[in-house]
Amino acid sequence: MVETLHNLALGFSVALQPSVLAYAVLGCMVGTIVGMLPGLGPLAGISLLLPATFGLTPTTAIVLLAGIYYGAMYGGSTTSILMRIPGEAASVMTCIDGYAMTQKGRAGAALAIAAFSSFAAGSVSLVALTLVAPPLAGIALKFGPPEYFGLLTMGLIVLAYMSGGSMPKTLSMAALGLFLGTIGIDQMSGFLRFQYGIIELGDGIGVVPVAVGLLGLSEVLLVAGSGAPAGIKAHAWANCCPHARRRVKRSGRRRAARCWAF
Amino acid sequence: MPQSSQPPSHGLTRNRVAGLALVAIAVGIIWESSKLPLGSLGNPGAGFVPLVIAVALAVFALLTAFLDKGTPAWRSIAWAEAPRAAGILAAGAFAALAMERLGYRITIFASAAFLLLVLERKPPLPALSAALLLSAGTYYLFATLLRVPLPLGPWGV
Repeated sequence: MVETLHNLALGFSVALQPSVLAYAVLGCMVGTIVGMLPGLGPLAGISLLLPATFGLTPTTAIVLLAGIYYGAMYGGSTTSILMRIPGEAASVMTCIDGYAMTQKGRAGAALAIAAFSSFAAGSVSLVALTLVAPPLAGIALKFGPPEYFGLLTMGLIVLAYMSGGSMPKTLSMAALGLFLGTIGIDQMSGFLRFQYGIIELGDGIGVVPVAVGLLGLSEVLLVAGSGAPAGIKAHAWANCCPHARRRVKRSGRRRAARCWAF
Repeated sequence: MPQSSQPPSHGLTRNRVAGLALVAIAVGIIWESSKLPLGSLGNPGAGFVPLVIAVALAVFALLTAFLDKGTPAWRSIAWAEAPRAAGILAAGAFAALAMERLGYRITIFASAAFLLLVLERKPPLPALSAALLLSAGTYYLFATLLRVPLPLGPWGV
């Protein structure tokens, strides 16, 4: 533990240098923009922007890539909240509450909440990972096929339990998702399933195209069945975060702008 | 789509149509799975897991259809925005099919121009300018700056 703390102190002394922090901010900004693009998640963003790190020192390059990763993780929630189309698979759940807030004219508040939640959860998980990574790795190595099967089954059960709508519908969609997962090469026998001569299907269908595409498709179908175009309330810029709104009431927009910039 | 505002129906409801459509998909999967080696429970073949999933899908879909508690009738769907939705889907299908043949820039320009001009009914000059800017700008960002290999169309465009 003492060694871990010593290493942490050394890491912080390097990471808190102004130039390194500047690269972290730059990485977060670029990552946020990349994350907003549907289908481009953190890993795709890092892959795309890897050439940009070739001229940097190893420390700044790693910090830049970490910033891109976290920026992209947050950026994915933007399209989820504003358009109900997840930027990447991890932000699918943000669509539910975030888009509902957008329809009520509170898109800015939703984006602010997503940003704060992303920061808080990222910080807590980083600390937890630092402290429990070695024992967790030991447990992970003991995982075999039965454990993975149990974990996936539990995931499906939790999915059915947590969904607010009809349980048969949820389980139907889970079964349909499992079927989509069987497309491609069978890992046990090497047999090609449901490929129909299309080479790309031999590798299966990825989670990101399915999650992004089906969420978008469901939105298109909802629009098709609606009587009129879905209305979204225009919201005042001062509603962008609750703290800013209070400040606007108290002492004008200049302070709110400062708050938002912070 | 709010369902509670619609009167409940006992005929052909939305959930029943959805359930029956899923049953049709499940039957299709079973049919296709039967062409693959099935194997046995102890030694499953490539078609075994899809078959089990398809049977589960059919069961859940039937439950969706027959345990329907009076969702609104299928006929109550207005379909007022159906042409618009069909246009969006057609633009998406066009982009997916034409990307390799026409190249990135032409495909994105044509899709964006169609969406803005035909579906959004924007004035021609701003719509075409926005489509051109989107096509050229994203190509410059991804292909030139980030060196992502994007498909080229005829004449190397």
